[in-house]
Amino acid sequence: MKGFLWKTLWNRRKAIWELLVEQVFIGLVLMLCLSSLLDAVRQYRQPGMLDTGNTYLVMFTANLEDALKDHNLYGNALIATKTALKHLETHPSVADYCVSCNLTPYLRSSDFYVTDTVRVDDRKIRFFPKFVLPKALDIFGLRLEEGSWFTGERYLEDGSAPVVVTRQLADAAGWTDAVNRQFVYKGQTYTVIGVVGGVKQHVFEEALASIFFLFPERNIPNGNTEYVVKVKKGHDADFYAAIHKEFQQSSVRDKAQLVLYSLDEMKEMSMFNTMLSVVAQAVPVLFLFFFAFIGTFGIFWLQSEKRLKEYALRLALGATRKQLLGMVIGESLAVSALASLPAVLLSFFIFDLTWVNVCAVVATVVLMALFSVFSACYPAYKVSKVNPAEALHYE
Amino acid sequence: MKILWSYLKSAVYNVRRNKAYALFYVLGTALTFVFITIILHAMRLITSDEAPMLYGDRIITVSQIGYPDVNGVYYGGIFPTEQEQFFRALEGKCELTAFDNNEAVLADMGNRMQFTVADFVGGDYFEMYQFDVLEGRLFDRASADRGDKVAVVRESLAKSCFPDGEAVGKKVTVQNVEYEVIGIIADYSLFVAPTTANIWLPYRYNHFVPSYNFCYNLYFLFSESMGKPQMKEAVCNLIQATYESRNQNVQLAPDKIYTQREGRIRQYGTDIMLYGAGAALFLLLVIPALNIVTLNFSNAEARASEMALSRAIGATRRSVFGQLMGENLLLVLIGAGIGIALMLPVASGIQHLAAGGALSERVTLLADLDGWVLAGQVLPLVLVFAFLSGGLPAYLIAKRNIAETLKGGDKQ
Repeated sequence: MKGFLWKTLWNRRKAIWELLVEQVFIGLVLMLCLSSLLDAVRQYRQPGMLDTGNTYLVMFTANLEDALKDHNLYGNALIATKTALKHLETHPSVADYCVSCNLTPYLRSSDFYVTDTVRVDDRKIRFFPKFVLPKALDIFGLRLEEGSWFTGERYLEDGSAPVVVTRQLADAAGWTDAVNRQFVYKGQTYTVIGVVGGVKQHVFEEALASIFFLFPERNIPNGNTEYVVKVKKGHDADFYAAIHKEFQQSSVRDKAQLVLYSLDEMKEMSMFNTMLSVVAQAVPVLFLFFFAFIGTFGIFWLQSEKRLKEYALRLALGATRKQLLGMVIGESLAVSALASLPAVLLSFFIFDLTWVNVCAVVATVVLMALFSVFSACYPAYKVSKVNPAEALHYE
Repeated sequence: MKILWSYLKSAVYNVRRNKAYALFYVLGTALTFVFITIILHAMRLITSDEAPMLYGDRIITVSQIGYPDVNGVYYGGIFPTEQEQFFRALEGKCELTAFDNNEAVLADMGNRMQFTVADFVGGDYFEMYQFDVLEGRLFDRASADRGDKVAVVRESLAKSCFPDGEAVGKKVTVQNVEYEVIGIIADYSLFVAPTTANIWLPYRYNHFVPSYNFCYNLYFLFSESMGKPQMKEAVCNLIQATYESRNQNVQLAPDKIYTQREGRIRQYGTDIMLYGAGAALFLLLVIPALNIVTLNFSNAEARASEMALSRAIGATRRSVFGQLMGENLLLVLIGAGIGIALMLPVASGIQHLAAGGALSERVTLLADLDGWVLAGQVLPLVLVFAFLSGGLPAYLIAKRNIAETLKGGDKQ
């Protein structure tokens, strides 16, 4: 049957060469597009994406020219922010809020988040320090993989301070079991009480080694203090009005500005370039795929009409309808298999051996196979329904 | 002329007679030319100077972020106290100078609060960038220096905040300062955007909040007589001298200074992307053309006898070819016309898919059709497509032997 199939295709090469060329191009662009798409999906799904839905960064931020004259203004503005949010804690639009430092994602390039180094078991590890309150776990949807989160206790029984690390830091430190590990940082002993999956500062970037410390009661840490509010769904307008009113009533209203960032929007901005690249590839490829489908369908339908007598004769000589169905679909599959070959061969030269690229190549072959089956489906069905007596009536 | 008219009449007649074939042809061509038109417009915007960045090849930006030293540490841009001296040093070489700073703000638009990006501008900003003013006017250097409380708003922001269409004259409050809207600027493409801001305000009211970056982006429009290497060298030397006066050692070479056009090409149109766009155009022409060629062969076969009869009664091969090509051209022109008409809605759809809900209000991928692209690039491709998809079948039918065709064809 297989030999017969290839022979039939060879005999019909003039009729199907355009189909083959078309599908070769489709296979190539499909593979490139899928590789791009799967890579974007891989980056997106990497652990560490924080939950920033309906979440706002709120700050009363001192005007620069006023802050240069009054060095207390920056601190006063922070206090005013804290006071305002305390007033709004029970507001119908507010679900919850918390303060943090260096945690909120999407605000700036990764180069501009504060970093430091720590020595752990004779390894020097560069990490991102993040200062949080216990509420941050729920507000940002941090995913705890091991151990526990902060309870609010600043010191453990042995006098060490609790920290939570990310999986990336645990891996960098060579810890298979990170909970209860200790290290010294800036003269203080810290004990790891938990491990989270990671924290991504941008959607399509990898999560980096980070350590969570409890937000201190005094001495604002080095970095950017962030007040983050989780707003109830559909209550954004109410929240804007409420925080605006609080700002107008604050002591710093003449020397500061109300800053309100929607983290949803910041996330969209973070994703924009990659999404544009993926969409710009995917939409034309989908169009070409659809076009090729129509073309293949049309050719096989035409061919099945032309060869109706041949199929009728085969039926008359003992072929089953299933065999006829298999013949037509088999021819289509054979063409698509041939057309997929250049794409698969090219992948060995242009792609690294990663699971993303392997999946892209496999997905291309599978999609091409499905494409060939669906495009030949109806013509094959028509062929299988041929009535030999009618078709051969005039022979 | 008479011949062309007869071709047209015949084409219209045959199209009406074979509607399914015509519909597939037209739809396929329309979809093809939607994407071809989008790609060509994007490439033109990236690689050449279009409004508002008409002088992109002569404008050099000194970034507010600054430049790194040998250790990769950034010391910030040109300080406001150094700015005046910086501009004066390039006075004789530049036609216009400007500066700006973007800040994310919550603007009170009167009837609603709106997240947006405000651009605090000064100098000859609105002379340097050729925005299309839909309504009202823009403010100038003197107005910005005086601190007039005026605002210019982008079309999409004006439409969403002032749906009654009466944005000019309305009051908006940004960071505790109330401004009067004096002008509306038409939306422009992201690829030629000097800024992603939706509202322009005089720099006098800039508190550098929330960015706390107290340096401005500085823009220099050099005169036409200056070559690019001289422009870059002048800016590079000045930047290094400024940092040296602060005892900061910035390693900067003139070839690391880019005009705005070069910056845009680096951002959106690297070599790979431009080759990719060429490959995409090639595929978008070839694959649908291959499909339509097959369809055309079948259609032409069905009309072989008709064409043979025409030739038997005196038509030349050329006129038969012309007649068949005329039909193809008519269908391709209709399809391309539909595709061009759909270009902006499809681009808008891609923009929404890529940018998401809120951001897509601030981003416009393609703002309008460019006549030069349509006439100089799309139209030739339409003709190429017509010949690719219909030329060969028409030629083969026209070439056929009359007697054999009328007898029933060569069964082999």
